[in-house]
Amino acid sequence: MKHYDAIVIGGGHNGLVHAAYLAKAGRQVLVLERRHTVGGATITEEIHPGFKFLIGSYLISLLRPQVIQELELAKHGLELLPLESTLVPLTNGDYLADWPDHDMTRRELLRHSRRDAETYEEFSLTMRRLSLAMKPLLDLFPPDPTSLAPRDIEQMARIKGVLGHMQRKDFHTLCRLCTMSIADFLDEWFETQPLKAIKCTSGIIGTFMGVRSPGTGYVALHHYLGEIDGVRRSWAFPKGGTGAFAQSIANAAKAFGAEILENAPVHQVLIKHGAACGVVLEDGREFYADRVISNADAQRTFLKLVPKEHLPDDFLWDIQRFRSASPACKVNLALDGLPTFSAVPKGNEQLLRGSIEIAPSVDYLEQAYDDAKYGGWARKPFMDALIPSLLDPGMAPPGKHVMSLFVEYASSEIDWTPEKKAQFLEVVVDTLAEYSPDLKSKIIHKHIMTPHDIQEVFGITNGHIFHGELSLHQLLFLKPSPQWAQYKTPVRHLWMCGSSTHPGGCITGAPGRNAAMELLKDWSA
Amino acid sequence: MKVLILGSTPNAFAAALTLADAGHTVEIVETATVVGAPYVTQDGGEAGLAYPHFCPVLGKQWGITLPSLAHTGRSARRADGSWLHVRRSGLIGATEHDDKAWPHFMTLMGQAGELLYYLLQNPEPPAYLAEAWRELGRRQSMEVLRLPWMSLRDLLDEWFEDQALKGLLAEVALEGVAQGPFASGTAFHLIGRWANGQVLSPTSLPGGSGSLMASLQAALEGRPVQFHHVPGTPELAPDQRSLTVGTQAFEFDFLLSDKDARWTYTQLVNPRYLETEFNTAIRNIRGRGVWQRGLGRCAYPGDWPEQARLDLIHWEPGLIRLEKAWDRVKRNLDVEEGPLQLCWPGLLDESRPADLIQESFGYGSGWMGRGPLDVTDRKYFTPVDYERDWQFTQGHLFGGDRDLSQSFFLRPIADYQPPLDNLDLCGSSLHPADHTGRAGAWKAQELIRRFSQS
Ligand SMILES: Cc1cc2nc3c(=O)[nH]c(=O)nc-3n(C[C@H](O)[C@H](O)[C@H](O)COP(=O)(O)OP(=O)(O)OC[C@H]3O[C@@H](n4cnc5c(N)ncnc54)[C@H](O)[C@@H]3O)c2cc1C
Repeated sequence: MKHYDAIVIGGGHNGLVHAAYLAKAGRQVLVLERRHTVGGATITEEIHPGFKFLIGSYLISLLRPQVIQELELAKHGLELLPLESTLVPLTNGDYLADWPDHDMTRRELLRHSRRDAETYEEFSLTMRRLSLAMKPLLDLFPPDPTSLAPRDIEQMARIKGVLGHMQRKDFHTLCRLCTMSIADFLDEWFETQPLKAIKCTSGIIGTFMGVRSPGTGYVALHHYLGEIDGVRRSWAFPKGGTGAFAQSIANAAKAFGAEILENAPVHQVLIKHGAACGVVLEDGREFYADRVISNADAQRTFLKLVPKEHLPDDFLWDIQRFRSASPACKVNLALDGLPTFSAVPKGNEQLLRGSIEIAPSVDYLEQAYDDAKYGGWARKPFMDALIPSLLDPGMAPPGKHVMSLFVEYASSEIDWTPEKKAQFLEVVVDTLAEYSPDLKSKIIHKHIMTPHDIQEVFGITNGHIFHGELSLHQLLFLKPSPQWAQYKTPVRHLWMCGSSTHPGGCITGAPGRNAAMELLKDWSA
Repeated sequence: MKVLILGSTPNAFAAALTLADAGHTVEIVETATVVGAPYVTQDGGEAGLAYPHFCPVLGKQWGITLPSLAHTGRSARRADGSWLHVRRSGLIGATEHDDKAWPHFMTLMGQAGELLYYLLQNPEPPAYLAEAWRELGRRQSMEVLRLPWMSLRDLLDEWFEDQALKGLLAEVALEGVAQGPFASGTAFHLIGRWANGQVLSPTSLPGGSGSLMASLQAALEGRPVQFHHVPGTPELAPDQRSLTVGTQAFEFDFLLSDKDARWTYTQLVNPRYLETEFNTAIRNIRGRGVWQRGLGRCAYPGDWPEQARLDLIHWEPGLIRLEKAWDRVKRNLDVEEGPLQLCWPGLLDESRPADLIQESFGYGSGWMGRGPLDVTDRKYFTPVDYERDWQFTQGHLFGGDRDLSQSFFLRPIADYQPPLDNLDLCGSSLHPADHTGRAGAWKAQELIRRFSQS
């Protein structure tokens, strides 16, 4: 039987990135994916014939540029189509739009508030400086603040260097932003409700917190760290959907010599003499390797795949208490034609090519959270909608369209029976129809991924899109456990490379890449 | 130097005494209708804060000894009529799981509280903090680092199963805080309250917290400090050399404002003379009173447990109840059922009437009076009163929220530099954001150094 250098459990984008880097460094790598296809939450599926649905992630922004370059993803099929605008339709028939082009946004904002149009520039520059300063942290392993080990001290010094270069004022703004709610922070800048609301949404994506909960400021900053082709704070749609992006990494990994095995759910990690030495699949097949790296989330890895007796009690407790209650659903619609939005004036249909945010006001968003936080769902949910077929006609048959809706909040604590699922799907469609009266008549097929479905389909605990909450007490050296935040685990030769590790969720490739760097260093040491 | 201090919280006195001891001439003037806020005792009950924590080090320096009466602890009455008693020595009436967890929780909070206490007790982080830190060890220090960012819900759910216990602890933490227990960073408030002993051993002063005022005033005797109470609107002369209230004028070389930062830089100093950026930062200070007091008459119910008589009693506390109340307050809606704390100070302190009941209603005032007991002669004190009678902006008793984004070097605003050269703050708007007298004493020391240099 073949003995590998490394086995990666899970072919999510981080697992694939990780495998590609190890293979590139000359290691024999095997990726084991439980589903019929790799990609994890980064996937395109033809749920209805001819219509390609984005049942997981839908846009790319935080992907580390190094990953694209070093793995030569362009060569392996990655094509990014930049998103052109953000549109907030309002029920009063008006709208607010936002473009990467500042002059256009400024002109648009002047329609709503002169003051906001003026502060907008300064706000953008401030956020840009903050994210520039924070960005290097994405590519660092998080140092242990209590350790006197040389590598930790060096890393601390690097972080200090990063933050030390900030202007004093920016540093203070950063401290405040990280500890404030995004709504309070934006109240200091703007007065126009829909403008505040769209800026607020970055603070709640994937997060079970309301816009008025402190800590959402940090989440917003996390989403500002994106950069595509060197353009900061921009979102892009990968041609063929996020699944095509995952395929490009898989291609790269294979080209570097990694093997990928699909339909291979891992049942348990094999541990001998306290060290991981392989895995056994649910069908009983066994595979052996020097290192085992899990791309699955921390709770799944340590509460399901690793026998308890190999884990210290306090570590187990850390994993059990890791917060992963999730508020996010994904809805996809197959449409007979392009829906019209009452708020979009004739001739401005190009606005539909960007994101469409159902986020008319800050109170609307907070109410959506309040409805769901005791274990329910929002009566009027927040939605981040996209019509991918406008950007990439290949996503739907000619003349037809697909619509992707990221929806919050609906609690993972709900007992998601088929009836509940259908009911919430109705809530989503009804809410959207308030902005687009002809929507319902154009729906050919609708599909929802509740937190429960996300858990079942992608194997993510509680369906938390980031493999655990991005709250401040679960960041950096606390992610996922205070003592095990550097991709290593209490089991020798077992590593982590998924979104439960620094710097967390989203399509970033960063956990996969950072873990590979650490593992390779450790190996050669 | 002639220093005028505007306001009369313990910080004002601490500043005055420090300056007087260094040979400066000091006048204190209070322009609010009431002196000594937020420690005001009326008819034997507390109209504002009940548990003064004047810094013992400063107290010793000026011969201010404060005899304190200790409550036995805290109790919670559950909706089913059962009781939970929370003591330093352990829990009574708790579940087995919580009983076991309690000592470990106390250790963790004790450690976090102690470190925070060191930080709050000193103007700069002291050297022994590092020592204390190292002693905690790797695991525990990380555990402590994890705390301040957490929500009370996350923290308490991790440790306990009983809603009453969780609710009780959350209510203590959130007294006067404009946040619900689900919000990140609210655990920081619990550490703060733990640090000053308010959670497990709340103490009060014989005769009420107003007697702190009497002790502070007594300490002025024989020192070159004059105290004036002139209710009215203080006006700063254009040359910034004198302050007039009604017909009286007070001259000064330096003015220390014990009033909060927002009040000082909007009501006292005309914002037109200040930089826009500074004004914006001041305007952005968050701090809204969400806490009210009821005083009335009602004997301790005969069918309530003897054990809770000398406790602070929390009425049917729970995280959900608390959060739901907050949901309404944040939208400025009336609360139907909020957190309620009861206590009978007269049972602990013979100088006060035995049937005097002191109630604290958390969040909106809408549900005041809808408590479980038949209270007569009830008087209410709300943030509206605190703002009008005590000159506390938005009725907030600590000069602004004390959450992480407004603490330490971010308090009162990030990078605070007094914009006028002979006027500064000296109250709870400054770090460490309390009424222990430390902020006042530190500011006075800073001034003394400055005066001696020039
Ligand atoms: C609905 C939704 C929308 C999102 N939208 C966006 C977005 O627009 N932009 C963005 O940047 N991010 C988005 N995200 C977040 C982002 O997709 C995830 O954070 C990221 O894809 C996680 O990648 P990963 O590789 O760490 O983990 P995953 O993608 O979860 O991969 C883990 C893999 O491990 C496999 N696995 C688990 N257990 C086993 C086992 N026992 N044996 C074998 N294999 C196993 C799983 O099948 C899966 O393939 C979204 C997520 C969701 C769920």
